Amino acid sequence: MRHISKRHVESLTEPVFLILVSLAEEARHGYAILKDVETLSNQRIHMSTGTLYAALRRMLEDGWIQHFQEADAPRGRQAYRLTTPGRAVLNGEVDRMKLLARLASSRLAKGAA
Amino acid sequence: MLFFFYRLLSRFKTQDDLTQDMQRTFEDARADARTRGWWIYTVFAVREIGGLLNPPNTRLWWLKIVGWSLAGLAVGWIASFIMPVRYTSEATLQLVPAMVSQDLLPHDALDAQNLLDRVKPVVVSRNVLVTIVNNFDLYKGERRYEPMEDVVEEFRKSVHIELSGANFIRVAFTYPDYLLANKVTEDLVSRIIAKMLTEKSNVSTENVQFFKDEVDQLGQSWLKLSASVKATPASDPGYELLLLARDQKRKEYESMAQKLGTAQMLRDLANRGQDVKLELLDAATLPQEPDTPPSVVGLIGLGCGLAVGLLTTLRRALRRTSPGFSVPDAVEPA
Repeated sequence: MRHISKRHVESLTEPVFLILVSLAEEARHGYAILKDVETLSNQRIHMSTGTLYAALRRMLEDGWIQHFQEADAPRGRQAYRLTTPGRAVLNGEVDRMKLLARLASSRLAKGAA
Repeated sequence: MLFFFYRLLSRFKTQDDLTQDMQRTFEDARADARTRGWWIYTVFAVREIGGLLNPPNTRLWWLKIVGWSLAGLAVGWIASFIMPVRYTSEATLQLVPAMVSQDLLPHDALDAQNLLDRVKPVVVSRNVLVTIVNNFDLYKGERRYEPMEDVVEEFRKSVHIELSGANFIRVAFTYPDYLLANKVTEDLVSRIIAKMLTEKSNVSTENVQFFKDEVDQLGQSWLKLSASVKATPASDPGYELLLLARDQKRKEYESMAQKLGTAQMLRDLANRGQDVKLELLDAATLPQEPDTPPSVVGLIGLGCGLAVGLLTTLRRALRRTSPGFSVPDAVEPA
């Protein structure tokens, strides 16, 4: 939990944001997160497994996600799900983005007028 | 190959459930990439290895490598001034065959290795080396604070007398002064040639004397046995044995006389200078460039610094667990 407030202020990086978005809907395993991030970013972001798991490790350490073993998963594959603090971080980031979008829209409108 | 590298680099990561899960996910992703053609697979491979190396900041990454390289170059540059400059002078001797049928010569007459084994220990013996050190006033600084034994040992290490091809002998000497290196090499060459001449002369004289003594001894034995045969009646039971012994001794005498003839011929050839000779093929060189020029030392330092920089940054990158993400851009607000 040690980095939550700092990160929240600093805003999330895009891959971290997309990983959180991917896990917001349902628990997923690593490969499913990779494919979902590709879909969410419209094939713009292709993360390597090294990058993905470095991010997952930090999120686990910060308590944003949890990992567990799916009952029918082959070869002991782990799945990851969002925790309440993680969901709060994602909500906070979405609110921040909304605010920024509103500000930008308002400025654009003023400029056009 | 990719699988091997991935596993290898993964070993630098923290070994836990997460890393194992990462490897399983990699296998799934790799299987998927393989089905999508070689280009996709290549891009995937580069991305995966890059992801594991995980450079934290590209500029910082290169700055570290450049920093270490410059530090290595500086160390190499300083070392090139501190390290003593050394020059090597070389000469080549050739073993020239005798002007006589090779069948008449001993089988080892043209064996350069055999010659080297006999001559080298004498040329690099303590007495000879001490003489050379005193003659040329070598190792002035070392002689002030080191015993002569150590100086001689250092000198011996700087002298190389070795075979170079079947009939060639290479003589080399390395020393901080190129003029002295040249002069000492010339001296060593002349000593080797002189030693070979002495050796040949001694050997041929000793051989002739040895075979002469043997022939004399065998001749006397043969004459004695011949006299015994004459004095013994044919009806004597030991007569046949005496005949056999006399014939045997005669054969030995003839064989030894033949060897004596060859030895005398070799001695005559040596006296005329027509036997196997050791000639100077290439005179001692006067080295213009040091063995290791300062630029090479600087380059070695640069290489070492580069290697240290790469290894350090690589090690740090592999041990890192946090991703090097860029600042977010262009994410549509919900």
